[in-house]
Amino acid sequence: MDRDYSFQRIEKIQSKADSALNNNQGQYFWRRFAGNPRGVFGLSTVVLLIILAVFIPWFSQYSYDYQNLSITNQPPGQNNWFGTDSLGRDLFVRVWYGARISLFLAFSATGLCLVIGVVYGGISGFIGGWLDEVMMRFIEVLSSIPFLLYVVLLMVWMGSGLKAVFIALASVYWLTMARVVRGQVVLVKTEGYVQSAWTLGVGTKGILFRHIFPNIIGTIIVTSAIMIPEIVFAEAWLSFLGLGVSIPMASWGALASEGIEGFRNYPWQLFFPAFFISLTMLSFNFLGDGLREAMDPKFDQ
Amino acid sequence: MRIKRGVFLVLVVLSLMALAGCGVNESVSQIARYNVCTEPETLDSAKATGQPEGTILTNMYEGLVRYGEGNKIIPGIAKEWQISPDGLVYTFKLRESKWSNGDPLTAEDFVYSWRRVLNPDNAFDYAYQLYYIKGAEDYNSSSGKVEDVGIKALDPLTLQVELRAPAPQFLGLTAFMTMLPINPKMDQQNKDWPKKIEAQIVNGPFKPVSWEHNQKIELVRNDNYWDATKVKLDKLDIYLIDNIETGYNMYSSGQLDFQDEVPIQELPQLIASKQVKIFTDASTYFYRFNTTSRTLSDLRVRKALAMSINRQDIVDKVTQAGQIPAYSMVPFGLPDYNGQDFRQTAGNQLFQQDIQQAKVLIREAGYPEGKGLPKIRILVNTSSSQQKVAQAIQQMWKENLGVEADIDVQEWTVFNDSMENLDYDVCASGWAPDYLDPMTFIDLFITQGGNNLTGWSSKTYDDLVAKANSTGDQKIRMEAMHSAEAVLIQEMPVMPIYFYTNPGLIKDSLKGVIVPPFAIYADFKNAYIE
Amino acid sequence: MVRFIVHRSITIIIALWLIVTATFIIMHTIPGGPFSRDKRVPPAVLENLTAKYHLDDSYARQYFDYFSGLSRLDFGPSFRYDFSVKDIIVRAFPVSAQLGAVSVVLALILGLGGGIISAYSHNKWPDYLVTFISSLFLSVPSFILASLLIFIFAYKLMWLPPAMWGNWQQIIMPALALSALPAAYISRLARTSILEILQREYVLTARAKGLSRISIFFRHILKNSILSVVTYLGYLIASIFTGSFVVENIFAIPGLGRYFVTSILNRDYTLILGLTVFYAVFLMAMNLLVDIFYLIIDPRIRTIGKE
Repeated sequence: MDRDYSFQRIEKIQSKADSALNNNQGQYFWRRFAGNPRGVFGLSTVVLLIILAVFIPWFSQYSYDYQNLSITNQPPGQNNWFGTDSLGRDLFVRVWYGARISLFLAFSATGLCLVIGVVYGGISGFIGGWLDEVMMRFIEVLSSIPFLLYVVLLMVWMGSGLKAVFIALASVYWLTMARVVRGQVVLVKTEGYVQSAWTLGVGTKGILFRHIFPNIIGTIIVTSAIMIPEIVFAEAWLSFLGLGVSIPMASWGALASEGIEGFRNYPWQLFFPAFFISLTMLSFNFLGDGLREAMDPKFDQ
Repeated sequence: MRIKRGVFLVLVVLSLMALAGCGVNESVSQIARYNVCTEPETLDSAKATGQPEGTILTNMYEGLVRYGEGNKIIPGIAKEWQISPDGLVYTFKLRESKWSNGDPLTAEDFVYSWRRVLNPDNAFDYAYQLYYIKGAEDYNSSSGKVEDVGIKALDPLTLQVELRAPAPQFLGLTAFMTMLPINPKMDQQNKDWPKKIEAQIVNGPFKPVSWEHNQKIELVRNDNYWDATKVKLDKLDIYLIDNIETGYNMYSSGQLDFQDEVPIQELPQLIASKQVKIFTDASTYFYRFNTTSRTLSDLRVRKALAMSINRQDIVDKVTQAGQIPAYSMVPFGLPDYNGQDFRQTAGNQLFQQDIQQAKVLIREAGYPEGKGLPKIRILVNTSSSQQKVAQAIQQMWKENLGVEADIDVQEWTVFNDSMENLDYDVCASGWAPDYLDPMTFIDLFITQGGNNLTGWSSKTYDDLVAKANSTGDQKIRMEAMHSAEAVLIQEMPVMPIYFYTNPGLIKDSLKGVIVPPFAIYADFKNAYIE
Repeated sequence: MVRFIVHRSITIIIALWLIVTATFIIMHTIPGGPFSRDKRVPPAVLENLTAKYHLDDSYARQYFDYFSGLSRLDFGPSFRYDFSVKDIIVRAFPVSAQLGAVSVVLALILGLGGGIISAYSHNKWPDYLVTFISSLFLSVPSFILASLLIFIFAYKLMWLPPAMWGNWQQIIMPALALSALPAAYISRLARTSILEILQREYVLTARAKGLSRISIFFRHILKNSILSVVTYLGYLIASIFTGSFVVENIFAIPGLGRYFVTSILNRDYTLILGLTVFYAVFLMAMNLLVDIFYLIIDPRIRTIGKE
């Protein structure tokens, strides 16, 4: 890659980006996004899930914890659309209650990890040198301390509840994000065109936002997307250990774990929670792809 | 040449096998495959504390006595014994028997093994199971000498044990894993013997071949066992698979003959299709009340809570394994003095389910319809069946009494710690007997009892237990224990819920397995494949 | 390069000290100890136990004893089992590593394959299909996937043994269960990075210059997509090779993963520390390898001594 070439490229990308900026950024972005069927599908499903999670438990005739021991393990039917669980509770309302917990945790914890991870990983990778070394060793230290041990400690200190789960999950999952971001930043900053931009005297801010950020946004979105189901199930595991929302309330992850116990005889107890976790995941992936393609001017058809 | 010789050998072996077959069905191989559902923590009988270890060891070793069909104590290595009239001196006459390496087994071997259990330097958990023996506790707490411990070999085949107080349960305890003999020569020559199963010299029905960790232990018939002619299995494979769903899958695909744990959600179907047998289990599931808490120190509240749950629904719909609703503490299966069952003598109705009465009691306590009563915290551990039972009880209290409760799930060890520090209101508990005598349940709740953990203390109760412990006269003992149990239920520091059962997946072709109601899961001495 | 490795080794030792210290403190802070039992033992027995395992020493003493043992590579005896911590690691790690190796290779093949197909058919049906499948794998955790695999292949179809360890048939299902999530993630990562590279000027120019698709693929696309997943590989290998509790439990595999959980539940102090040290060293060694790999494949990437 010779210098002239890189120079050309930078000019070109800058002009493209500038034109995007000038062209009323928001409107432009939404137009591109709306033109992407997958992104639209992803966004509308996520919004729909949130709306349903908020409203269905309000209007349901059942409560999430009402047991009717005479109708345990009933298959889906007229009265119980998703069937009942092993204590005769209505799974439909439990799934939507679970959605509140799981969606809230998934989005909030992912969001927090995203911010911390991007800042930490960005600084580490971009500045490099000894600071990078120290910051990366620190990540390794944190990811080597046994998580379960730390969870028990938190449980003893804070008791159970969403706050403790949020702290436990957020304090672990940002590590993944920070690592990935740092790796990408290191890769991108050594690309010829970024090097050339330095030599051309483009400022730090410009390098970061014009060159590095657009090139790593894809990976960030992919990584956030995989964190959602991981967090949903980590929460289930934590509530099994007594850290999560207290029973009889149950998140999607807890419902799925409960469902797997009897899935041979009562497959619906696994199917419904698993289906909604997968649906959230899929829509978030589609949404992520759509966002990235709309944001990144390189993806002009 | 080599191949031909191989074929010849096979033929010889086959014909020998045909000649050797006798009594049992010759067309099927006599191999039983059993899942004990965990990797044993140790195979040193002195160090072991769990039922899985007990099960493996009892099939490899034999103590002075053994439990036979119907929980009868039958002679083991001791062919007969005498108990002195004051109940303090036990004299065991040993039969002539051999270790698996052919060495004779003597009374000295028992002396060596039991002293080893009590040696404070070895720090074995279950040393206290031998505290009945005179001088044992002193030696184990480093304040006495080993020579003063009341275990003596009068001659190579006579063992004399002196107790510090009468304890009729002692005889049965000699079948327990802690009191199994080990070979002194093996212990002295190879300190690593517990790690190397093939190095173990045993005296029981089966001898060890191999131990693949977290996979399986292979045992074969021990031809030097004194009763080897009764042992019909050639081989016993003990699987160490801890996931019971996995064990169930292996059972379904024909890789296992027996597993005594059944996935709870499969139970109704399997019971209906008669694939599961339900064995008795002399254990009780109960909730402890923290009698030092402000609200639960009121007996009326404790009684109201105990009377207002529907135990029949819990066993039918939640635990689903034919458990028996418990209205008393001591389970079925423990002997009374007249050869009857302790529970049957007194009946199981020391109190009743009575929601109307419970409502009256809670009103009298100052909480009409549960109003004004602070939320009760039910402490449970992470077992999913415990969590289910707690949720059912939570709703029953709410519906029947208007009492609100929260369920606090804690990781096992944290849970134990909270229970020990009385950091709970109501705490899910279970108790399995150490020996087949009601005392194992009754002495739990004495004031000084390390496992009381309710803060409850009753002079009357302590006196009754002391009375029972002071005599070898079974009639007096049992009557004192019946009275003690009545006091316990009257004061209600604990709320019995159900008596356990032990559902097991067992192939019809596997016969003769003894499944005792305590201490071990299964004894394969008389087992055979049909 | 030598300077780099020496430098890194020093920081690794410091990091290791921090890890052991933190673990030691947390371990002794949480309630319960290795002899906490469902049935409480009499005080005399408890005294014997704490004396035997030196738990009656001061924390400082235990702490220094642990390090002096560690310096001799002595991890101490397990408090729960008759075996030493080293025995357990030496016995169980090879099993987990073997299964891990198969799983990583599987994850790489499926992931890169899926990612490349997906990127080359961007926004066409194969892309959607790969996204759909990978989303499914990402959202179904290993314990559900493992149970479903057993149900289908061992219970219904009876093609494979349901569990245990020893022959190649027994590797298939656990390896699939372990590699599903990484494969899905790798495919998403690879898709993203390939799409970005395909849009880059130098690739467009190369194409314009008349370079064949195949040589562009090998020169630019494959190299860059591998680079994009290598950072992830360090962590993936470290975590997968040291075993997974869930998969080992469900498939009855005698690996190391189970001990990471049971040691903590049992408060088996020496085993907790031993496994933590083992994992940490393994992880940091893998990350060191990743960085060395970067240095070799792309000397422009200097993680140290630059600027």
